[in-house]
Amino acid sequence: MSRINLDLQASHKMLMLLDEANANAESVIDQIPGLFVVINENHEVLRANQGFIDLFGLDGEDLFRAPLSRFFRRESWKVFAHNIKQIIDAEDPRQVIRFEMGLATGAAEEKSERPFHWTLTQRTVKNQGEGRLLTVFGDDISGMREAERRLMKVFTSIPLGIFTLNRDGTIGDSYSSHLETMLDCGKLAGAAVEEVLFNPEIATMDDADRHGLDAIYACMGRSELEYAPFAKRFPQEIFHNTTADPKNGRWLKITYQPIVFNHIVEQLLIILEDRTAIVIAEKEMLEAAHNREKAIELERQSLALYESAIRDPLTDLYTRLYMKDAVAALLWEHDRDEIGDVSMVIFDIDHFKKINDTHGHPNGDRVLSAVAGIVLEHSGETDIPIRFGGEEFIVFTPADGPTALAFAERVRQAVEDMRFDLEGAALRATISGGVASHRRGESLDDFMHRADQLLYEAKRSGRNRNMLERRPPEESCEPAGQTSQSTATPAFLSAK
Amino acid sequence: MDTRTVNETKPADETQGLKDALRKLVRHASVTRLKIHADTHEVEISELDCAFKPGRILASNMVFILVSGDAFRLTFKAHFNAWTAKSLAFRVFGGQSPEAISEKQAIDYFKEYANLVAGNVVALLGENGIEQGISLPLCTRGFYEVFADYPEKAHPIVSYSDFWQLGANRHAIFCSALFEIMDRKALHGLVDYEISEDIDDDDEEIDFL
Repeated sequence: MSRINLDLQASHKMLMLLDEANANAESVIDQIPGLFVVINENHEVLRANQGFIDLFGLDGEDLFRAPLSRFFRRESWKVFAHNIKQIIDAEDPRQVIRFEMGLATGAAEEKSERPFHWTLTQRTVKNQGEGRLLTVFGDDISGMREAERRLMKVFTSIPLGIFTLNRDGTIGDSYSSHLETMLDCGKLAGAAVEEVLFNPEIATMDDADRHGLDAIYACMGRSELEYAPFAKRFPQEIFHNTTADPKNGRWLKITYQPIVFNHIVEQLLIILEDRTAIVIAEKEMLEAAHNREKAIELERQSLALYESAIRDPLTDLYTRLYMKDAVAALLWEHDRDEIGDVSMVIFDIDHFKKINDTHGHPNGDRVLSAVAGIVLEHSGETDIPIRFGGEEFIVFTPADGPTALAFAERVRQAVEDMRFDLEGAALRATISGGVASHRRGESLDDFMHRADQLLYEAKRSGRNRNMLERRPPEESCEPAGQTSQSTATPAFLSAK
Repeated sequence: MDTRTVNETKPADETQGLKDALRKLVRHASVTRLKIHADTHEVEISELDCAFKPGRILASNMVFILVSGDAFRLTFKAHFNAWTAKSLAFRVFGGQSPEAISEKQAIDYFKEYANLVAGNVVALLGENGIEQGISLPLCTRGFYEVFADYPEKAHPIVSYSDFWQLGANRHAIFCSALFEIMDRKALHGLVDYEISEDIDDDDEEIDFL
């Protein structure tokens, strides 16, 4: 085979490879994502990818030299054609124009428009057969717009005021339907944030907040790295009220988020949270807590007052004031047979006046306190021990006479056994007691009178002893005078 | 017939005569081969619209082939739409309908057409003692015509182009040719060459080298 034949054979092989490469390249163009169209100066479609052909359900042959304008609504096409002219007239062949525009899709009678993002570039060609060419890339952004719409719906439904703040201090976009209500302002876009958000609060702002407000403007246009120190000074919460009535105001918590382009803070996203209800609730809670503390303190004070009224400070026994209420209740229960027996023991320290006179009142008080301590020590939980006055003590007990007498004896013995060291002198004290049991229907005064008579009897009989009525109380419902005579004989006598 | 001798003819006129002769030869080949390939005698040749500019896209597809030798080089292109290719191919390949013709069949049909034209050109040149080779035909989108170059040159290589339209059975085919003359003397005989009107079927039997 000649040399020329060999060369041609090689060339043929190369052409076959190119043919295959060409077919693959065409396939790649057909499968370019989105829409890809090449048009000439007359806006005729010269080449389109499969996405464009499929979108309109056309045949590739039908599309050849189809006017691109037929796929756009008239008004949209005016803008599109304007952008095409911009690219055609551009001196720089690398110029790119990007914009958004709807594209009418579907059959003519049921055309619907879908949002697309378009990119126009010039295409350099070898000849002027078609004039200047443009490549048109279109991305269907209806999915993105739908996602944005849903997001916006979420934004506008949450109870927050969200907007962007421009570098010049004006409000850009607002993203919440609550914002206008929150700021009590109908038209926000383009309004100065100082007017609609910080006014009239600004008039009463302290220096720190005023500087914080200045920091908002100062951070704009700066590097994102410088943002943090400014942000620390921004006002965090304000009371916004455009009316004279403070009740109409709102407590707004403010959150700031920088919007950065090329590392520069171009805008701020500002989020307002209406905390009025929370602040009011917090105040009410604080007030309630304060009132509760006051109530507790008052209760504590009145309890202390009551305690001081019913407790004898020297002996820690109940006072006569308490006796009236408590003993009246006890006798009332006895009268109604709710308890079986009620008895009382009335004690008196023997020769107490002599102790006072000999050892002084302070030592007398010590004796009083010690005897009261013994009475208290021997009293049960249901007993009511009372300092009746001076050196007299009364104990009411829900028990019968013998039981009450046994109690009285234990107390008397304990007192007798006690030794007092009064300024170096040893002293022994004794007590006498009268023990009476309550008769149903009997008044407290009568009951006490009988016990007092028995005490008197114990004193008269020599002191340091307890006297009990001889007859059972239910049998001796006699006048007080007769009773005192019949109970003259002591049931138990503890003479020294 | 031009009876002037080479010595008597001005160089510019001689070049123009050669250019016209080559133009005529290729146009002739395109018509006669289409008649054969489309199996029709109804092939009409016409000029393109006066507003036509070289590089304008003529159809959605194009097939092109190179005829090349020491003295002369021809790039021949046939521009066609898919429906035209299917309709004409259907006449040859048969089948249920033109729609049933596949894309590949349609393209192969026009590749073969380009091959026939080139083969005929080589045969006619061969009659004049001019040896030429033929490349494989390639098919691509008509869109790529925008990247085509049709330079008009006179020296040292004479370069020019020709565009015409063929009509066959109500289908339009567009042809373009880029001529490059490297050796005018070697092609001198073509100026007075009269192409026989008889179509020799043997022309189709060009062996690929």
